[in-house]
Amino acid sequence: MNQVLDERDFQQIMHEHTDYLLKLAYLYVKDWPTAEDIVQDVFITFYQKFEQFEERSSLKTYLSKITVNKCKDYLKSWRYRMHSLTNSFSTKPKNNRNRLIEQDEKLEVADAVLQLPLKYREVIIYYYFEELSIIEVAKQLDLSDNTVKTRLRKARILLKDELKEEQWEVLLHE
Amino acid sequence: MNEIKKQLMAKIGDTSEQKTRVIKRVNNALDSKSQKEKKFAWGYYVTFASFIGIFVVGLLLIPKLMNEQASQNEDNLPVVEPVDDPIQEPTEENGYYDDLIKFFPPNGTVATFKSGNSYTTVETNWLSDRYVQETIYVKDCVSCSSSSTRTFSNVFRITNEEIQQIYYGDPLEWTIQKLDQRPSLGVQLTGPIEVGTEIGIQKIVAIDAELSIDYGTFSNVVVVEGGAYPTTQEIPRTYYVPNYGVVKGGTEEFGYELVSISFDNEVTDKENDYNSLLKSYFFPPEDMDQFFIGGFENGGAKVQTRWLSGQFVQQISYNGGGTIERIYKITENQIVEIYENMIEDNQPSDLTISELEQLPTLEIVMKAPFTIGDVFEGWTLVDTNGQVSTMYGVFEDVLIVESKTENYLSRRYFATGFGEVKIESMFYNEETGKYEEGVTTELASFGQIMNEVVGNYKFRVFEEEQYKYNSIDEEETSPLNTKRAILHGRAGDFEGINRLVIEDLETGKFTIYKYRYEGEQNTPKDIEWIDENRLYVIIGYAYGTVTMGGNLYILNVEDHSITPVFEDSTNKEEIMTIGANGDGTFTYKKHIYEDEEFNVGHIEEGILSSMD
Repeated sequence: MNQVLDERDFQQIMHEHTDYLLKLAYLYVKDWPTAEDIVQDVFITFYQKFEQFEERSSLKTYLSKITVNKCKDYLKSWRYRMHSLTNSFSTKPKNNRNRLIEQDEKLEVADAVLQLPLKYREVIIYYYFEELSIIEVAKQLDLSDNTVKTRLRKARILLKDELKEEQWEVLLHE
Repeated sequence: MNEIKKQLMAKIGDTSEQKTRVIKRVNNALDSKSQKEKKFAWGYYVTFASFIGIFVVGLLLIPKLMNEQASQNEDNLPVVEPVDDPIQEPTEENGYYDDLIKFFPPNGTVATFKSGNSYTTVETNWLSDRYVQETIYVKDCVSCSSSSTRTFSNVFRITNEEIQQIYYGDPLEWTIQKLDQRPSLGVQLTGPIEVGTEIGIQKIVAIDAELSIDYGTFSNVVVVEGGAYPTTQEIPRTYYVPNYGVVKGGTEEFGYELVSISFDNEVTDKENDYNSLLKSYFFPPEDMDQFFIGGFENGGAKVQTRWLSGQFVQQISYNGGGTIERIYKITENQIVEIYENMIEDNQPSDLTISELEQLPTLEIVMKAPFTIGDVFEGWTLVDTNGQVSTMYGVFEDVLIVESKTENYLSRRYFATGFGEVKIESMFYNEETGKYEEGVTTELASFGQIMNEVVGNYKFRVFEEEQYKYNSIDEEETSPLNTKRAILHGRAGDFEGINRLVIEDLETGKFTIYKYRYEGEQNTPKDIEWIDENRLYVIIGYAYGTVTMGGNLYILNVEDHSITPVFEDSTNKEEIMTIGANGDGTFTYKKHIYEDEEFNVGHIEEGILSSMD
């Protein structure tokens, strides 16, 4: 327990960052119970290791990085193995889509992104979802910016294979 | 906001519920001052290359494993990528031991591999922390009984530098002394686990690779390449996953891959009660009607199960094409069919228990214990721990059987507590070289058995003396108070499926209307009596916020006929409500969408006369 982090501040931090970290974790692990577990872990770790936060980057970046690392640990662990089979069977949406607009449904891009292998999904998440620049993405992922560019290019190619013509047009303009 | 972000945000949706939970749990955890335990159990080790042993050492002894026809297609090529990893320095205490033991799974793990059409099961037993034994059962023909499987065993020693194979042959009893004395027959793996490490003529070519096989997708795969098979030019590879073991190996032409793995001996724990096991997988525990969507001409199906006694169960299947009654007997370790008959006029058989006991076996449906590879009347058991998704929900712990010919592949899924929950039939497409979906039948809903009568093209109709309902959405009595119409089901939220129930207040009988095509997810939403025998019903899509109502029908509750009121409405028009004006006319509100995105609309009113 440290005295530097005020209880109110901590609650405030959780209040501000939870939504965002949940979304980020979900994009990695694609499973809500796991995403919640991970974000819980992140805050507990943060609380207990507050002194180590050197404020070199913003709090958001710091928490994101911890979250992503924990997501990757999870994805490497045996629990993920058990889950990946479930995911592959339950991708059919059941009761929460309105049929009247199903034909015009425009979330195929999101679906395709979630199906990408991790290392391509990751760069898409950082570049499009977190809206970082190439250099910032490179820093977050410990890669060279050329590698990031290459992966983005490859990710777009993979997405293009998955999506129909009009949806692909949309992406070209991003 | 860019399109990708927009869609991802829409896809993820509102996270406030999850947020509340997270914050609450964090506060609870910190309050109790307990360190949250890391959930990732690293106590699982990985099985490795018993097959390297088989193929290299035992090649001549198991010719059939190698002679299966090529069964893998190009999609199984893994994404193998060299990754920069820090060099793993050997620790002072035990060298690479900690990494090497990860290549065997925990004690008692049973893994099954498929090569062409034959199956091999590997059971792992740790004899000490340095010695591990694999017992291997090979079925070299699909329809072999278990007595014709070949059994042999490999034993490995794990030193600080490497994994050595020290025995290959019939399974034996070992002491540590005896094991210590055995020389190495060959090295399976050497540390450090990094790209470039050489193991004899083999080499690690990747770590952290990604691999997709039928069983699942792995993203931490270590790939070892090298050696040669005498019968092919291809270089064999072995893929293993820390915490799992070997998941795939061989060449594309002669290869094998993991189809199932059980870490805690689930199936063998049930050894003691095959009878219950069989019952639970193949039949629901209580009498019930199960409704399926799909099927022949998408007409859906119903299966009615009745337990005639503890060991005899009757199932009547209605699938639009015909009605078939079957009776099964469940013995100590088998399910057998003893009766099968098409029913013409819904009159099932009426046999006594002693008559049933005398019926001979027509067909063995299933035997326990289950082993992957078992064959029953043309169906092969391909999974004992699978998962399947149906309209009703996702099931785990599913038995999957398959029947495969050149042109046609059929698969059936059995879940505990439910019985058969899905049937897929697929047709071989020569152009793509794959089996493609033909007809799928899957579980949509179930409930108590009700007496079904002839319905109409919108509703199945049931008649019952008693009917319980908890939630009532709407209730209306007919003009002369002889009947009451009840919509029940949705209660509270405005989404979900209703049943329309008509209670005859004079006779006390209930008539239940259930929307026939469950796959469409339509529901009756609003009702208004016209006279004692007829009412208006609005039927529309049950979910979401775009729908404003539905289509309007007149339902006759005497003969159960149904007629649409408006013949040519478009999918942009929905009737929202209908109400009686008291003078024989009815006012309805209609919502009309003006745009293609179903965002903008307006409401019109209209009047109907009950004479129309």
